[in-house]
Amino acid sequence: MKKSCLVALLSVLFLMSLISYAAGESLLNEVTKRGTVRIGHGNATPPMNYIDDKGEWVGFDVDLGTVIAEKLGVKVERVLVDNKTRIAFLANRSIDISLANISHTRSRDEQMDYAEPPYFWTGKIFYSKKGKFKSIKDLGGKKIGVDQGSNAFIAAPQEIAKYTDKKPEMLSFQNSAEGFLALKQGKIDSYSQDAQILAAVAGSLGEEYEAVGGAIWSPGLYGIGVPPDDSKWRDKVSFVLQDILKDGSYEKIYQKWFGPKGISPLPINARPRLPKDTFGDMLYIWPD
Amino acid sequence: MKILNLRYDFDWSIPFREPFAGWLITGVKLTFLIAIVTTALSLIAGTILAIMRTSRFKFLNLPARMYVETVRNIPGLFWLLFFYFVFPQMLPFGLTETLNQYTYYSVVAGILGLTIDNSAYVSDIVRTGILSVPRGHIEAAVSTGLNRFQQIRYIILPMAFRTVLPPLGTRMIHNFKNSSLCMAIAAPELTWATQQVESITFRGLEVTLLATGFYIGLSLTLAVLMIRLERWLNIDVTSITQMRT
Repeated sequence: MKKSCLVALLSVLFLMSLISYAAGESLLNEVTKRGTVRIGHGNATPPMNYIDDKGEWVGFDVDLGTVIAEKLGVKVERVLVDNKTRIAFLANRSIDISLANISHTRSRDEQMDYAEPPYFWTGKIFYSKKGKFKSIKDLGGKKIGVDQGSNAFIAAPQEIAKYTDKKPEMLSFQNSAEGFLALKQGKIDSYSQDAQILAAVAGSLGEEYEAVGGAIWSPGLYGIGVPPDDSKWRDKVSFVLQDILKDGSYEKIYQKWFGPKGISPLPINARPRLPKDTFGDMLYIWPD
Repeated sequence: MKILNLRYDFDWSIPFREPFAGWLITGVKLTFLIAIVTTALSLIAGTILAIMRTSRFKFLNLPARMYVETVRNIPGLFWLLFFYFVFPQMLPFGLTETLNQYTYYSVVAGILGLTIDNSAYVSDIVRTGILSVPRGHIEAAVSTGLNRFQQIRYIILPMAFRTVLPPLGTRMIHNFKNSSLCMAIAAPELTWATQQVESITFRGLEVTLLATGFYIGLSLTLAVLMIRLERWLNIDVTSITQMRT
């Protein structure tokens, strides 16, 4: 018994001894030298990134990743990430870019950096059977589902607490498909996720469901994740993203996925743009 | 050395901060609950199955054998997902809704799934024990006038359990660790809690190390208890084999 305790302790110590901090050169040089950029995508979040009926890895994020690699002049190497590893992999530099529907939040920003501007402007809704709830107030004391790894696990109860004292019961699922299945079966009363993901996961069933209160309750500004403390690389990715916005290739991908004739038509305008009342329809791009 | 370059600075305040501490404590409690209930249920179900499998009657041993073979060849995680997502949909009359709306249904589904999985293995172990009971002892029981139930209750099972206690203990420790599978169906047990903390804070190593310590500690404690129990029951393997010859 003593021996196995010792072995367990030693292996933990061994793991910890390997932890070190390496301050290397900028990823920009590394990526150019390597000739490939490693981009992390999820595969369970339609329409952003998922595996389609033919078994191919597709989605808005995936198409955007292809164009970014093109503009960088390197080949693309796609790496599978999930809701948790999409940030952890940046921190330990297993990937150069994380393009996996990551909303910009303060707590995430402590662990990673984001290219500017956020590339997709959406937000979270509470999704429920049509007519079941009138407003967010009615969600007090109900069962609310979210994806594990979503900041909504903490944010949703805070939002509901603004309207009622009754605390909701929170459940978290491993991916959006399981969360929606739980909603369909009545295991949860409402499922909170970003509007365009819910529309795509629900598909033709979407007609039976609606956003409670009809509105987005928390903005989701999707950013391209880059490793922390590498401003050269972050700037490069930001410039490339803005070039893509400027030259119309962003619009092409946007139309393919979210346009009126797109794969998953979206009623809201999710393009990164400046406030309309001041700037009209100007895109969010830094002047030269 | 490059492979395990974690680039990670530990912040040990995380596991002790709210709401994370609360999630972890709930997780530990639920892990205990799931482990204890599934151990008890699978012991009962496994014993009944083992008795059925050693029966001379085909209508008893055939279903039991089919059950064990089916369950052993399907991953445990499947049973959890099955009981959570599929099973309620198969039920008639408003039972589907009742189960789906039950707040702790994920825990119930987890317990059912783990019990189904574990009882197949338990039955296999107990069956070996029953088969190891010397023929002469059963004949002696018959000649003293015990009926079949009394033979099983007073002679066969007590001897069988003494023989198989060591493998049974190992199996139950395995079952205890399997409780972590319940995270897949949103049951907030310990592994779920560590994943949840990681997904919110992006600092998972602290809580994962703590949880690992918990699992190692409890498994070792269980192992020690089993050894104590074996000693207390004074199981002497040589005496059993001598009896058999």
